[in-house]
Amino acid sequence: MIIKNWLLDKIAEESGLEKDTINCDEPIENFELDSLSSISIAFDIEKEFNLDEINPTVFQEFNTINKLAQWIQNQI
Amino acid sequence: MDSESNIKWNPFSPNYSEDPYPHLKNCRDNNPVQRMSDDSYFIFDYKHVSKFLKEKKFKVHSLSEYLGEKETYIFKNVENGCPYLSKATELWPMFLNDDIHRKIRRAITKAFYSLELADLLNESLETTLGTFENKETFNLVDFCGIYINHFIKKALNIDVEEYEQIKQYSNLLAKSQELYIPKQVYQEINAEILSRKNVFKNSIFKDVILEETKGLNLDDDQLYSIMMISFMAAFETSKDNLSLGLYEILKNPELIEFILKSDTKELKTIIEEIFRFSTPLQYTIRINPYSINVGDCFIPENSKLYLCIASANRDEKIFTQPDELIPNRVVNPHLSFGAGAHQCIGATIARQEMEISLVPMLRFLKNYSVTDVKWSKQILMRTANTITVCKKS
Ligand code: HEM
Repeated sequence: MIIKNWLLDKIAEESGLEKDTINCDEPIENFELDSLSSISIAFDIEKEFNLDEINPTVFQEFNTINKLAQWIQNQI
Repeated sequence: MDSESNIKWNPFSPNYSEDPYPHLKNCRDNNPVQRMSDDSYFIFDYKHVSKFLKEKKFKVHSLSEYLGEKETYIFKNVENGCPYLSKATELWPMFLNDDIHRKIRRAITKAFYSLELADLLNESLETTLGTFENKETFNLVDFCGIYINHFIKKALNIDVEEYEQIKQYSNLLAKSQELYIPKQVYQEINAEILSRKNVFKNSIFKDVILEETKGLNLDDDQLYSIMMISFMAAFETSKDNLSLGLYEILKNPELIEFILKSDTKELKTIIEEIFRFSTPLQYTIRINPYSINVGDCFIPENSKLYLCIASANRDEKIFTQPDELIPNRVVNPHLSFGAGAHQCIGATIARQEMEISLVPMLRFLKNYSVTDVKWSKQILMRTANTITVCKKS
C-alpha cells in the first residue's frame, strides 16, 4: 500500500492529474507521460526503493500502477 | 529484412554495459534496421552506417533545441533553477548544420592546431608516469585520464586544481548528450555547468576561437559553449580510447611484447586497430531530409536515425575476425572518428596522443595485471568507471 501510494503521488505530480482521478488499473501510458518523464520516474523508483538500474521496458510489461507496485514489491 | 524479427535493440539487456558487442551482433545479423516505438530508427550494418555518415544532405539534430523544449519540465518545482542546458549546448558543432557548423568547426580546428602538441604530450606522459610510479594498485582509467587532462588543462588554461573535479565536469558534459537521462541528472548537469562558467581562463586557444568567430559577435555564453565542447570532446573520447585499449592489451602478454617491439609503421597500424576496437563514440544521430529505403525498410523523411558505429566497426563483411584485436590488421576502414561533414577534427591529435604514450605506458604497465572492471551505464559513449590494476607479485 505504501508503494502504491508513493507511485500514485509520483504519477500525479508528473502528469499534472489530480490524485483521485487516477485509476490504478488504467494503463500508465494513458496519463500521457513522455519518455523523459518515465525515465525520471524510474530514476526516483531506483532511489526510493534502493533498486539497481531499472530496464525502462518494465513500464510496458507492468503497465498499470497496481502492477508496477507489485513489481517493485517483488524487487525489494 | 525482417522487421517482425523479435531481436530488438535493448541497451538494458543483460551484460550490455560489460560487453555490448554480442547484442549488437545479434541486431546486425537478425534485424539490422529497426524501428523504435518513438519512430526513430537504429541501423547496425557497416554499409549503411558508413553511407549515411557521408550523405551530404543528411542533417544532425539539435540537442540545444531538444533541451530547450524540455527545460520547463526539468526545472518544474526546482527552487532557483536557472535553466542553462539549452544555452550551454547551443554551439556544439556535432549538433549544428550548414554555415554556422562550418564556421564553428573551422574555429575549433584552428584553435587546436595552434598548440605545440608534441611538447605538451611528452610533458603529460612524464607527469603521469611519475604520479603512478611505485603504486601497488591504481585505477587505469585515472592513469589515462591524468595523461590526457594534463595537456588539455594547459592548452585550455582550465582553472580547476583537482583531477577528480575535472573528470566529473567532463563526465556530466558527456551525459548531457546521452540517452535515457532523467531530469534529476539534467538538473545536476545544469548546476555543474553554471558553477563552472569561469573555468576557462585566457589562452591562445580562446584567442584563436575569438579571432576566427569575429563576424559572429559571440556573447560570453556562446564562447563558453565552444570552450566546453572543445574540452569534453577532446578529453572524454581520448581517455576512453586509451583506457579501453590498454585494458584489452593487458589481457594478452603476447600482444604487449609485440607492441613493445614494433617499429613506427607497425605502431601506427596497431593504434588504428585500437581505435576500431574501442569505438569510444558508439552511436551518432542523423536526420534524413527525404524518405529512404534501407533494405526492405521504408524510412519516412525527417526521421531520427541512430547510426551504430560500434556495430559497423565489428561487421564481419568488412573486418575479418572482427572481435579480435589484430595488431597487424591490413584493411581497416573503421568509423571510430565518424565520416563526412562531422568527421572528428581531433583525429590527428588522438593519433599523436597514442603514438607518444602507448609504448612507454605499456613498458610501465606490463608489471601490472587487471583485477577488476566497473563499466559505466552510458550508451553513446563507452566508458569504464574503474579498471583496477595491481602490481604482479
Ligand atoms: C580517440 C579519440 C576520439 C574519438 C574516438 C573521437 C570520435 C569522434 C566522432 C565519431 C565524431 C563525429 C561525431 C558525429 O559524427 O556525430 C567526432 C567529432 C568531433 N571530435 Fe572527436 N574523437 C576523438 C578525439 C577528439 C579530440 C582529441 C578532439 C579535439 C582535439 C576531438 C574533437 C571533436 C570535435 C570538435 C568534433 C565535432 C566535429 C563536427 O561536428 O564537425 N575529438 N569525434
